[in-house]
Amino acid sequence: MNRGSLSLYSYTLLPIGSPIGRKSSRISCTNLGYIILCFLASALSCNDLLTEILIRLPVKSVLCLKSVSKNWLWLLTHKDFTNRYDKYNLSESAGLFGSNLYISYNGGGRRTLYSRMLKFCVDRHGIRIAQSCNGLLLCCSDHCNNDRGVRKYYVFNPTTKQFAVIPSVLGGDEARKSIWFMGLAYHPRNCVHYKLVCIRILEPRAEYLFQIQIYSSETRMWKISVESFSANRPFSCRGGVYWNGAIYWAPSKRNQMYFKLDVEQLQTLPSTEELMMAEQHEYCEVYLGESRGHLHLTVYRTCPNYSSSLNVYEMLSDHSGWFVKYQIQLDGIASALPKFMDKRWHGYVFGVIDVVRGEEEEEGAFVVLMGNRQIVIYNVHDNSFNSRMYRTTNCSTNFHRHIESLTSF
Amino acid sequence: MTSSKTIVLRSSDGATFEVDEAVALHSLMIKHRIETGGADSTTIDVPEVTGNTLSKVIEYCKKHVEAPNSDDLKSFDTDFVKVDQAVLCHLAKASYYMNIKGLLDLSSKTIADMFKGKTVEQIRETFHIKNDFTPEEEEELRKENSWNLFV
Repeated sequence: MNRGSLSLYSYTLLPIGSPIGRKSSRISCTNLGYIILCFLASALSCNDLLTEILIRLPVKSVLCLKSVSKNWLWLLTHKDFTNRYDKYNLSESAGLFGSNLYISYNGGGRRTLYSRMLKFCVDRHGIRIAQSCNGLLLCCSDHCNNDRGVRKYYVFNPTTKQFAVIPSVLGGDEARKSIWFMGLAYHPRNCVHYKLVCIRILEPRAEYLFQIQIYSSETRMWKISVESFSANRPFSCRGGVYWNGAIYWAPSKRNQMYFKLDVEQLQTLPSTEELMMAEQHEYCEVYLGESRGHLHLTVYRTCPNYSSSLNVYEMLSDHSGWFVKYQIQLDGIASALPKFMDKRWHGYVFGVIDVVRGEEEEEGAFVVLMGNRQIVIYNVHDNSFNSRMYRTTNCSTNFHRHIESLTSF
Repeated sequence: MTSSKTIVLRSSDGATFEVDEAVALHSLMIKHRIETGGADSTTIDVPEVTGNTLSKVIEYCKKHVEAPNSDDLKSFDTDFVKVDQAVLCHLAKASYYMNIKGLLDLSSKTIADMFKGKTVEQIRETFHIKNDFTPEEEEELRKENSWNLFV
């Protein structure tokens, strides 16, 4: 038990107005709530025990309790509490943020409120989500491809509404314009702090020279991590995923690397046979994502015809390769939803948008697929699925996982 | 059967309880004391816990050590925490000090469930807490949480 740091607030927790603080004789012994209070407050480390109780509450209740009094607000937003809370509550995926819609995994979906969510800070270009990482969202200014120098980055917690504006990378305006990739690295188990990894192109572009910078929320500063490295081709950095202390990118011919943060090195990621074969064709959809401590990959060749099954690969814990974890049968979906996988229909691209593991090994895992204006949630254990219609103006939309987390920064 | 060693646990008010070592070891605090205490540690003082609570804690440990796979373990646990709030708090405190994870989980969860569904006003009343927010501050907090309807 981490008594050392928690004792910081052990003396201030006593609620204001409590008879314990004052020598009051007006004690109502029949009031059971008061009895709880007495017992909880009677020992030095009582707040460790109160923490034990409060971390077992759902997020909704904890947020509500913040309004009880200033002391409780202080306790419940203290880093020691929020980190302990996030560590205790395993990351449950609540749903997905799309660019104009929200897909809920628990029923319901608050589309109208979601559009307000991204107005947490005033940005004249609007704000969009770039990456989701264990409860935190990396966001950036939208609609400024013409002038990347003005693009701002934010780290935002949609549950607590806290956000931080990230200072500019080192190198001023030129550096900001040459940002190739920005990724967020955060896991409550490792640290209360988060890091950002930025890859930028060094001039001249023709030589494919890149630089890596790292930002730490602890120091609030950027530093140059890898002064420069060269790549044979434009280094494809689609869809960064933070897993196991490193940032991964969907493996492709143009990028077979991942960046390990502790040693600040780029290392090689093994590919799958299917992926290597698929890349010889013109186009394939690749999904890379993390769920409950596992890294998943799916490959789907979009032409000429759909294949009847889809493999979900999982990375071996020693990084030596991938193995097929689940196999999805697409025939059932194709017959139930005839146009689902037809990519010629309004240009909607069929693909996997999320792979979610269950709490137990043998149950609860599902894969979310998107097709012709429909979302299919596919249960990998019994091959059943249900589908929902979604109206979206954007046909190829990026999805980011919504995880409830109390982390404060 | 090998002779099972017994340990004597002494509560804050001097009550003593003789238990099998295996049952006592269910408490990681006692386990640590025994392992570091030396050869003559047959009596362990538990000054943070009163006799009444200690006897209940021992009852819990006995059940979980002697019949960990029994079908009625779950119903035992459910009934075990059907006690009044004061006793429940004592149990939670004792399980925390004695480092008995299962009992801490059980009692904390039960207390946590008492918080659920209560409004802010009810919590303040139950715990005699004065509302020290200004109306503006309260409104701000309320607004912050009101549209968090993803939860």
